[in-house]
Amino acid sequence: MSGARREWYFDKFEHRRPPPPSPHNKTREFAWQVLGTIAIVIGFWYIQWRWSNSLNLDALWFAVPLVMAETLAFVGLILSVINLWQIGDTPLPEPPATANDIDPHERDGRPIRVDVFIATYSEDPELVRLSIQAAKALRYSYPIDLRVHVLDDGRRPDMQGVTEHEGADYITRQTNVGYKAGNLRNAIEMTDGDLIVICDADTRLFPTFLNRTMGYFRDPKVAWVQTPQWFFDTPEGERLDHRWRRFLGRPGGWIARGVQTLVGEIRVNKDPYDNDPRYFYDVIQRRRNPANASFCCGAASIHRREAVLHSALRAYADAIERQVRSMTDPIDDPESRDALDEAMRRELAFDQEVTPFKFHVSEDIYTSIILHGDPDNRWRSVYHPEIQSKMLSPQDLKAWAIQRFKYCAGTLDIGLNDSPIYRHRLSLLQRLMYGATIWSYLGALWSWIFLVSPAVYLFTGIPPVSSFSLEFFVHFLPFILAFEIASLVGTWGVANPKGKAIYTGFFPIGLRALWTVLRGQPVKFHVTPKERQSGRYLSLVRWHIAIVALNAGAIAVATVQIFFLATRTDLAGYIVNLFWATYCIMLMVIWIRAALWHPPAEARV
Amino acid sequence: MTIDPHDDGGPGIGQHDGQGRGEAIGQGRGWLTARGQIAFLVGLVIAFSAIFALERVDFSRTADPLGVGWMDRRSGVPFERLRSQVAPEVRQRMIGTATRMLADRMLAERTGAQPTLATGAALLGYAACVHMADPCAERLAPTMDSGHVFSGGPDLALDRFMGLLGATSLMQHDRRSQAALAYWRDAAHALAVTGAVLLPNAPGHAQFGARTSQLVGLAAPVARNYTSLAPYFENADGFTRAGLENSRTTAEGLALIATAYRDDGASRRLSWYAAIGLGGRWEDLPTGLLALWWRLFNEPGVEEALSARLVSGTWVGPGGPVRNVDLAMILLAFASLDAGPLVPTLP
Repeated sequence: MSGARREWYFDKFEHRRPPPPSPHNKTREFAWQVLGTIAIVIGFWYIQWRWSNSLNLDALWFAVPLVMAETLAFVGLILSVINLWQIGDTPLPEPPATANDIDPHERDGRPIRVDVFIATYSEDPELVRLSIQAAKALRYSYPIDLRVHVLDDGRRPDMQGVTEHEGADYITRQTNVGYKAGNLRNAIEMTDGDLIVICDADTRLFPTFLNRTMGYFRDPKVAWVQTPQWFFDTPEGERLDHRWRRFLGRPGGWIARGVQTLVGEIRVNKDPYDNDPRYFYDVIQRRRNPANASFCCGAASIHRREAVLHSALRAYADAIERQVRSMTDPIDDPESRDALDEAMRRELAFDQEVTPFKFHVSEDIYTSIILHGDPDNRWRSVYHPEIQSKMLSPQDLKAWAIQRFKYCAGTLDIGLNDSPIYRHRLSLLQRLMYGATIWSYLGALWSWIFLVSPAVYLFTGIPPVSSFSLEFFVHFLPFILAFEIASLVGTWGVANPKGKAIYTGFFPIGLRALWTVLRGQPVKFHVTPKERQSGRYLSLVRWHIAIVALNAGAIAVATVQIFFLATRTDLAGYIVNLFWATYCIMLMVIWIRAALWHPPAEARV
Repeated sequence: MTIDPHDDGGPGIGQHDGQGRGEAIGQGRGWLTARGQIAFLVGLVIAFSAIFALERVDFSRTADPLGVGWMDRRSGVPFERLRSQVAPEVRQRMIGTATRMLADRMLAERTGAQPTLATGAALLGYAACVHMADPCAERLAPTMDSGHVFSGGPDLALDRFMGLLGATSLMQHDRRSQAALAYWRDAAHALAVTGAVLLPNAPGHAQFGARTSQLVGLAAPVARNYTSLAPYFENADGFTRAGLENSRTTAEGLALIATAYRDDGASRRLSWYAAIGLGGRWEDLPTGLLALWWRLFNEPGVEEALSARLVSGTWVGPGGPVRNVDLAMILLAFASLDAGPLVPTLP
């Protein structure tokens, strides 16, 4: 069954080791907190000035959308500062030796039972084999009852063969109800581990995973521990001097070396899709930890079965109660009402399903919200900052877009239909942190305004502000500088400039996701492909191409009008918007390059 | 430094230290630590200091520090048509005594007949008479001394600043106006604080309000430099882009500044551009604005239009009797002609 070892495109990346968590420098953190506060206060000052004193009252159709966009983006900035306020890693106790170390009700001192779930649907069984082998290689400081289960929603005989060959359990079911959440639910029903490790088909756990995470469960209120996900196969790109030497010969190489001497190494086409999730995990998730607001991201997390089931049972009971109430409350006669109540409860108890992981496209964050907001238990989450597994990244723009569409639509669906903002048991900070996630996806509503505004001005000469005067710059520059400097210090060492471009250009996907959710349509998506698909995806970036063309055309038109035809004189506005439009073009070009990117010739799946 | 996934070695970040199971777990240090609170306070102090310093930048004091080059380029042909667009110099001219008396008599009649309707415009008219050392000052004095003028209340944003300007001028002439000044200062302050200086969509009035507020140390948060008026001038169709009403209020505010204050060259040039930008369509303009332009420019068309407003021994507006505000502007124009700017010292 195993045969000759397969060759994978990622074989050449196997030597890579994960980066450590960014060091916690208290002086820098203090500086960030000061700068973040300054950015917010000056931001308030700027925004109030924008609304009260700077609008072009003759062109409110243009001025108001832009100032609205600025205001909404500023709300995001406030949430971001709150999110990133500080690092607060949870101290990790010694790994528990027996079950009663993590469960005060347990008395017999038996070894802890751990189930590793590897969820799969259509992935190559040989790829899953690697994940099984990694799970089987887990080590622990004490005797442990470790079981590895492959949860195959594809019901594939070859997958079953690989699983059994590797000595793992094969679990499947007759339907695909609930997709991944349903798959996990089915496995939970068939297993009994104290702790559950969740893996995707391509998640390869490090042998240290359990030793580094299980200590947190000594606290009986800890429901899950999330570790960072690490895509070890992101393209490393090509050094600038190598690239320029190829295209421009030796002089090009010399020039590139000179540039790199000044600004450090530059790599072209490094991680073209910005898959590296380090910013998300090492900055966003890690800094939510002190507010008990880091959420589960699925793969590479470990859960307390009791917490998952407790919340599931509660949700089960609530669902039955809701249905019974809806039918019995209108009945006036107490006797009839009680009779119907009793009959319905018995019936619904059979019909209603227990769903440990919320059946939702974003089941991980949804389940996190439910556990954090559990009215009976103040469940805690822990974010462990060390990378303890490796996995594969989406290898083309289509796969990437599918994944991000899923994240976006799922989060927006939660935000619009079951918003954590209104869950009374969540703390204020938890609401703000979850709100920040939802808000970031709503950014699609206004980010496009920033991209088209310079073109509108350059084409028409109509400014969105009353004038591009010194007063404008005196308000705008302090705000933007305060924000940029604060970001620089706050994310020192983990800064992700390409992420800004990706976020700004995300609007076509984000708007589509929002439209899907608003129409109440199910969020349909294919499983994120783990192998690179062939082809170029210019259709995915047609809006980005349009924005590049729009801004480039606007620059050309305004330049001709001002410098050749002399029919316009607004030089200050021209200069401001020239820079703005150029910046927008640069952001969009990153998307277009990603669509056109293809890996160098190499061994592929 | 990298983490070797196969190494289960010594303690690292977030790793147990092997000191036993009694270690605190909890959620770390909590969210808002003492250090975080100090950082927050330091940030607040720095940010508000910066804002305070930035708000102290007084654009008007340096007469538009960005320059008013945009005015000179408004023809669309930079540096070429500049000379042809320069506002003509003011030349001395005469005004008939009867015409002058007419304005002050109308104002006195209105103020005397309805003292409770006395407004900031009436106060400005009185100040203009005092400034001219004209008999109209004596005519208006009893009404002003009765105190009614302070209690009538302003009806327009423009009126408040006219009142403030009049009260300031009277104070400079040592004319019993401390109480008036306090009243109109408060009225102007209320506008400046609420941002209503900007209303009603009148950037010229806002300029006038901002400039006048500075007389008593009120920094109006709007319209502190003329470049905010640029959209009204930078267009191929002349001074009509915002519609006639807006053009009028813009022109009116600028003309008031140019007439009332000394050496405000920028507003005088803008007034000229506004005047020629209307392309001779002066028949619908308020009489007060025509009077101010008559004072500021040697333009025959303006004089003709103003003369046409003298009908049967009375001043009229485009749609009927002139308003108090227009009468005040007429008197201001005459006072400025006779005795120079009403407020000779710019704030």
